[in-house]
Amino acid sequence: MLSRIWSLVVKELIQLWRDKLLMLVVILGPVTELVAVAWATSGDIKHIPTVVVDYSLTQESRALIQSLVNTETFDVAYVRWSEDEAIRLLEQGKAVMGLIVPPDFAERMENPATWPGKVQAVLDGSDTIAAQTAQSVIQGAVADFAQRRLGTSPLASRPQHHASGIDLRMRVWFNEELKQSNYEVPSELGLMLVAVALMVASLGIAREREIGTLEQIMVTPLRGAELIIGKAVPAMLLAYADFLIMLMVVIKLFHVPMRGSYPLLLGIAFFYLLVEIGWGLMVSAFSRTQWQALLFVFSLMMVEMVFSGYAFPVENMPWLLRHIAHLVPVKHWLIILRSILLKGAGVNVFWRELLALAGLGVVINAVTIMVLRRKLE
Amino acid sequence: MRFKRLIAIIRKETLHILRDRTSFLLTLLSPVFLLITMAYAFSVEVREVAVAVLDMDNAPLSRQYIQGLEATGDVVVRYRAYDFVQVKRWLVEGRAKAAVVIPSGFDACLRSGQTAPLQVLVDGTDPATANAAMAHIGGYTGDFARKVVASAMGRLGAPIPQALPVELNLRVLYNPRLKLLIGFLPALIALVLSMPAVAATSSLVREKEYGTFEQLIVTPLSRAELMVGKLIPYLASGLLSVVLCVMVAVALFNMPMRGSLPLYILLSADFFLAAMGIALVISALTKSQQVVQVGAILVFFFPGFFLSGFFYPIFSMPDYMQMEAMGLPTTHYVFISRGLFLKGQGMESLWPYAVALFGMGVAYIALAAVLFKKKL
Repeated sequence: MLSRIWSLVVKELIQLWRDKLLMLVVILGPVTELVAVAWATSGDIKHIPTVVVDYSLTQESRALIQSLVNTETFDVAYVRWSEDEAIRLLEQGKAVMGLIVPPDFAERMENPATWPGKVQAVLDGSDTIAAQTAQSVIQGAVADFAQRRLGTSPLASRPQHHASGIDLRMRVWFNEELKQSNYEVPSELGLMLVAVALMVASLGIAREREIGTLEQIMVTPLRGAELIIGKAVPAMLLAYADFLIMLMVVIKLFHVPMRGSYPLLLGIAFFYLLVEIGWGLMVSAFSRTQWQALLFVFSLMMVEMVFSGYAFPVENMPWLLRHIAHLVPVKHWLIILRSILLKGAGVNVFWRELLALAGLGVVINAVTIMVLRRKLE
Repeated sequence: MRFKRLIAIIRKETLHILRDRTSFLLTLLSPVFLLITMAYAFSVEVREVAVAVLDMDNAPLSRQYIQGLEATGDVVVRYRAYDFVQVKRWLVEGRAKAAVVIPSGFDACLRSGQTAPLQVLVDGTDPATANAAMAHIGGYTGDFARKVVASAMGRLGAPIPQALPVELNLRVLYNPRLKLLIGFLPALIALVLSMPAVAATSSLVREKEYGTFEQLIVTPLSRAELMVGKLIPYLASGLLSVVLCVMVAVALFNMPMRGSLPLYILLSADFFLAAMGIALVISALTKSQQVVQVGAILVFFFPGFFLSGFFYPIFSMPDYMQMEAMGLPTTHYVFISRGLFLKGQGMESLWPYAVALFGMGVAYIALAAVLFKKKL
């Protein structure tokens, strides 16, 4: 049995080696893309184009605007003299936030009798993520500004109320500086790895079937399970090599901390790839042509993306989808990956995810073998 | 370009698509199917943050604090710990995103007018969730402290604290409650519509792999006729998908469609021109469908998600990556889609994107023509 698998593996490797372009694209493509994507998205959301309409034109209004600029979240890209012009810039998508300071801002702010001095911020909600960030940053900045005013105001001789009874100490664990990249980059590695595994695994059998060489393989003494193992080994080699390179990139280039154990991570990655390659082979066994396989893989990847917990926490999904999400291997893998990297966690922490992955692996690979056996015989 | 020959090749390709029922359904329906799944996943808006509490004081004020925290609805007090080890475990396992630890003496301190210590531990793995948790808990604690102090001062007859000198008035256009789905759905449409382009790429390379491309070359068909004819069925299927997607968005997810639908379809055709231009370039460069698959995923899938301004705003990217993002058809289509669905924009403000897509389409198709000529 081993020698039969071995000869299939050798055949596959020769085939891969001949298609140099494919090798190049499979190994270098995802790494390059990971670097690009991680580079593009690893920073905080900054430089939100802002239009300012300052009807007040006073020292106070300038100080307020300066305090917004100091947050580095906003770039004052436009200065306009009427609210309508500002709204038009928002409509055109040139600015995402408009800040309008009314003429009586400074006067009202000076005198406690006429408090509060009002400012208006208008946000373009169509870019929701940017608008949410803008919302929380501007709320914070304006509150800070007001507090500082209160502190420097001659009327501030009243008792200080914000030192008000509770000494709240917040401590952040695992990602102490709350660096966005520590979350994004490992997730992007995980998703890129899905792509690699599915890509390399899914086309193998569909291709043989399309070209007609599957029939030739069928007349050899190879059995269903052996065919799958033989197809899986080269896919695993490629995907694992990609994983190692990407892991290096993530740790060395993007300075994601590695607090857990390397052998544990490398071992689990191997089993995780087995699961994904199983998916790929199943797609391959189901589809009659490579064209179908490609379309299936593309759809499957979008689904995996949604349920990975990357963009939107799975816990917040509707009941049905939350349970479907348990069937998506990448969701469990991302939890394990982040736990090992950032938290230095061991199996005792993520044994549930590990168990889920193992279960999925067994079921997926068993179904693939069954499907393939039926199709072959 | 002869019309009759063009019709012939369109007919051949259409037959081809229709015969392969699975692929046909995948090409036509998968965008709608994916749109529904993804939009549904984003449709629930409670960003509930699970919190663990450890109440070592167990006195009236500490219980009141916890009850109040639960009642805010911004966080869910899901776990009650009996010792610190438990708190730590829930945080490491990621089941609780934050933990509030109330030390003993909390109640006594507050009542005697001293400052009471309170500790909050936050799992920083996902900074967005961590920030939300810190903002909610911090805000609530401030309010709680003010209330407790105010009631104490009320008893002493002191004045109640006054408002701040500056007030912010927030107005959100197009998406008043800042629901994620409303901003995402137009972008999701842009993303799922790369399917027809992917299908087109694969179909071209298949002819090469099968050797039927040579047969097509020896017919009187010109290269332009061949390409246009092969792409038109996919374009038609894509436009059909656009209509289906808009219907689903409006009927199922209550999206507004503030712009004009014919303009949306026209600009979608513009997008397909650019996307299929890329498809042609990929297929000119490759011989095997395996490479096409990798290429399609690397060109359409990941950049579509990460670089198109879908999740992460373009203006926050490094300059070079902004350029790369603007080189993707999906980026422009995301702007168009959001503009038409939410802002009701017309050509007067969408023309830069339309022109960019058209330019890209022409450039890629010209490049593909050159590449094909060299190969054959």
